[in-house]
Amino acid sequence: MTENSSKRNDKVEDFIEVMRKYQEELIKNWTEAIKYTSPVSTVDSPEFANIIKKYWEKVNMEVSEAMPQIAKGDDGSLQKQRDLFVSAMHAYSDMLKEFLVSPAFLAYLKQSYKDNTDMKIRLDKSNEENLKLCGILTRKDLDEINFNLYNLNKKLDRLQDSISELKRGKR
Amino acid sequence: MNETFIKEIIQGNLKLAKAFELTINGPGVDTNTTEYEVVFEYNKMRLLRFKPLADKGLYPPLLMVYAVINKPYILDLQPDRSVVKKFLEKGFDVYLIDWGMPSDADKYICLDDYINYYMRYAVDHICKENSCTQISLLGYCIGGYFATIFSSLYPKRVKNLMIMSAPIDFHVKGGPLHVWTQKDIFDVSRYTEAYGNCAPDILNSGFLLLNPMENTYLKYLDLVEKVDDKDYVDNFFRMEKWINDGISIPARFFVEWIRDGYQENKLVKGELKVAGKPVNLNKITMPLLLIVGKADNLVPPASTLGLLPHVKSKDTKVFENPSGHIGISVGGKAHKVMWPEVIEWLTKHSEK
Repeated sequence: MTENSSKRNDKVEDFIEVMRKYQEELIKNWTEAIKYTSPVSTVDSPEFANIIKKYWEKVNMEVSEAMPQIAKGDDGSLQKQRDLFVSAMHAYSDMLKEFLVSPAFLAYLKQSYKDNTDMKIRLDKSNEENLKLCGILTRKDLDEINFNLYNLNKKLDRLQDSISELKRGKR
Repeated sequence: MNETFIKEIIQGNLKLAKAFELTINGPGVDTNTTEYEVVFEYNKMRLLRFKPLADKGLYPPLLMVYAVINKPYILDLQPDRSVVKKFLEKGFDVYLIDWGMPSDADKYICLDDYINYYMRYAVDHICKENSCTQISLLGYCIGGYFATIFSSLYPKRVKNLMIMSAPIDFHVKGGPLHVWTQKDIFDVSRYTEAYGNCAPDILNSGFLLLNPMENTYLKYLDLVEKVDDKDYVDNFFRMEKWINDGISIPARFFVEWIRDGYQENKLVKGELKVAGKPVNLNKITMPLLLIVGKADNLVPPASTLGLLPHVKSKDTKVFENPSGHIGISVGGKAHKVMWPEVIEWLTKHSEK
């Protein structure tokens, strides 16, 4: 084996090692992420059942009131069916609106925000580490550059403002 | 089954097919049709100046400021319902801020940037172009929040302040947004740490849930019902285009917005600071016009009206429209009745 081909083999092995670490890290993080996102059940909560019951009764009442008209089977009956459908849709909307501010939903929302952000942060961290291993710029590096550029631009604007003020003062 | 019923089913199916075809291919509608030129740019912001449609009146220029959530062409959505056009036709010199589309590189933009740089530079430019020292300001939604803060910090630059559907008091009852963003539920700093800028899809999902059935299923049912009405179809797709044309909110401003607004309600408490400078609403002494939509559940009317107890303006007026948050700028009724009155108010208050 020549010296050159031996160096090439070393590089290939290094690369395989980096990829192996990357895979291991990825599997570890996905496993963690799945644990984090175990669903919080709200649909079977008694609170939701009560809200559904309330609107279900309302729609049922409207249906029973409208039945005699619908049973006639004339033109008016068609309109009545249509009105009933729209009314049921609005009742469903109201039900959802009430549910979406209920403590059961808010608890779910809180958990969901937390799980999603935790998972994203973990995955980013893992990607960050792997990109570093490959010597590629990471999001954090880019953020730092952007932050420095942002601050530089702001300093420039402030300087320009000061110059303009000085000019106005001279006049 | 009677004949009418069968006819209804056949017609219904034909309409459904037509609506389905339209939602896939779209009718190809134009938006923001009023001519303008870009007169100033700063970072991604563009300042648009609209071409006059009538003899210019002797009024201070009018600057319109829309939210940093969607594109500002909602104020010029279609020729017959354009707020911009309405003012132009009465001889106003109309400018509009287009914030542009922030990228990841803009995630550090904060309230200080929007007020003390973007807005101030825009106002400076307008005053320079018109050899004047004051402008009239119309702020819509978050743009109204900005306009209010700008008027508190630079009261001498604003001759008249008009804010529409602007969140000012965030803790009023009426909308679920402040419930979903409570401090113990939503950790906004951690959210932006994970995701950076707040993507428009996230915001749109929240807005859809304000009226879950109306904004989804019933909306399309209406389209099926009125699919043969060309005006309705065109309006529908213009609105769809605008709704789906959202922009990201820069991460740093998103944190300020949720924390200082929805969570801590700092503006009306007198605790808000911009670049270390307190925002005192009692510095607002210019004529003030508030425009609210009675059916607005994104920004409940009480939130905008919550500005009144804090300002020192002696000349205040409130216009209430029956519409919701968007209907206020594009609704037929708003354009027929309310906007002519708003323009009359501004004309009266603009005369030198």
